[in-house]
Amino acid sequence: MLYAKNSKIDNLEIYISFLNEIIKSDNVVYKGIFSAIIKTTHQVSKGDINYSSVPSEIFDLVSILSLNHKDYFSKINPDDLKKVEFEAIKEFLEKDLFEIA
Amino acid sequence: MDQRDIQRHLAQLSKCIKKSTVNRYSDTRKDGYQKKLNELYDLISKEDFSKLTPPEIANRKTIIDFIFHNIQFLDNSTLTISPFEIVYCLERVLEEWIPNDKFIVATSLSNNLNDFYFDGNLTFNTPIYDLIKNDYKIEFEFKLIQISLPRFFVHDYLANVALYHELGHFIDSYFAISKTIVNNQIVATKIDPKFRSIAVSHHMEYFADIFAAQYIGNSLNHFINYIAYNLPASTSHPATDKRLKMVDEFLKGNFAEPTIALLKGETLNRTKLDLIKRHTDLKTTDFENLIPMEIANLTELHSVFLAGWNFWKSPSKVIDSFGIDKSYKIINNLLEKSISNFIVLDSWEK
Repeated sequence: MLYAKNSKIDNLEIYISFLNEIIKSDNVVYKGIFSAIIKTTHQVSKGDINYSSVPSEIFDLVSILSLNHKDYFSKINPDDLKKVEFEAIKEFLEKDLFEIA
Repeated sequence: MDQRDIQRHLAQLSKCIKKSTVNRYSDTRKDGYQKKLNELYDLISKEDFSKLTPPEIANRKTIIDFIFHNIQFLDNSTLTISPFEIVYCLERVLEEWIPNDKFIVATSLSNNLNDFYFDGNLTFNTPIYDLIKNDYKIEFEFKLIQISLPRFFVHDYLANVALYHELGHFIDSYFAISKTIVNNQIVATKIDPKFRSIAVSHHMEYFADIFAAQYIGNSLNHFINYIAYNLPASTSHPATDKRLKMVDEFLKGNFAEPTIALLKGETLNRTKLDLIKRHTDLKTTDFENLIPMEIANLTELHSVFLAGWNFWKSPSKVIDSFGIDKSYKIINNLLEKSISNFIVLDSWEK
């Protein structure tokens, strides 16, 4: 193969571009998508729910974030998300990209 | 990456889009899907790329790749190319597990031998649909389930039992069954997180094998035991012997087997359906008389593949007298006619 093509990386890169939009212009559509993901990640990280209750459409991202950054997400307040939290998540995903690669 | 690069990429797509406009499909939903792709292409081609930032250009590149990828599968799903009968059978299975009519089975023909695979890129690439909706206000009513099969085997109804396994991968991924099992096991410290990827892959293979076995019994075992004979475990697949044994245990009803128990439990939780036997043992008398079977219902429709395999493995004297090449052709013709007769009758009744 000419280069390392990985659809999981493509997906994460799009998610990172959404986070850029949230950080830059408070994009409400993307914020809505991430709010659901962060809330579920928080619940899983705290042990309030197990993975059997995670909706399948957000499973992959919740899985990456909760398995790799459990401590951070168990302490976050998902009902009061600020720019700094989205910046932190962006940083996590950028690091996770290297792990997947 | 600059605007000249993206313009070149778009010119490549333009050629591909023009060619695909003559495609004719048996499923009208594919026509609607193709129209959406054309609309999306039109909007991108009218954009002023000089005003876009490099990350925005990178997103456009991803969308152009997405359109290309869709067309690759649509081009191989036309009336003349698509393995219509087997796709029909898979769609009936799909309706049972996901009755919302939001997915279209699309096939791609591979030049590589034994290259059966499910590609989740178009179905589960959720963020790209959000991106397209946000930037172009286009929503796709359907998503393509991309299943690839070898070009040589398009009309081989014995080999194509593998497609039930590939559809199983789609069902598993859609409901996140294997991933859920493994993540729960990691939390329970039964699986080391560094082996997550392997554990997920192995559960997915067991799931897909068992999912297929529900409909086609042990016919996939016949096929796997030949093409993957005695293969040891790899990072992507369990050892062939273990796969065959797991299916045998499932068909024997040994649901206490730990992996089967986990798969059944999570499948029931996620889908509200159980992994159970969904086939019947059909008599091969019609095939022995060289006539297609009269299929009465969907259970029999899927079971006809098992009957075909049983007939191939234990042929009658009559079919044997034709020699191998001809009997292979006759059995495939009988399977094709049995299924297509059912399809015609079914469409008359609707």
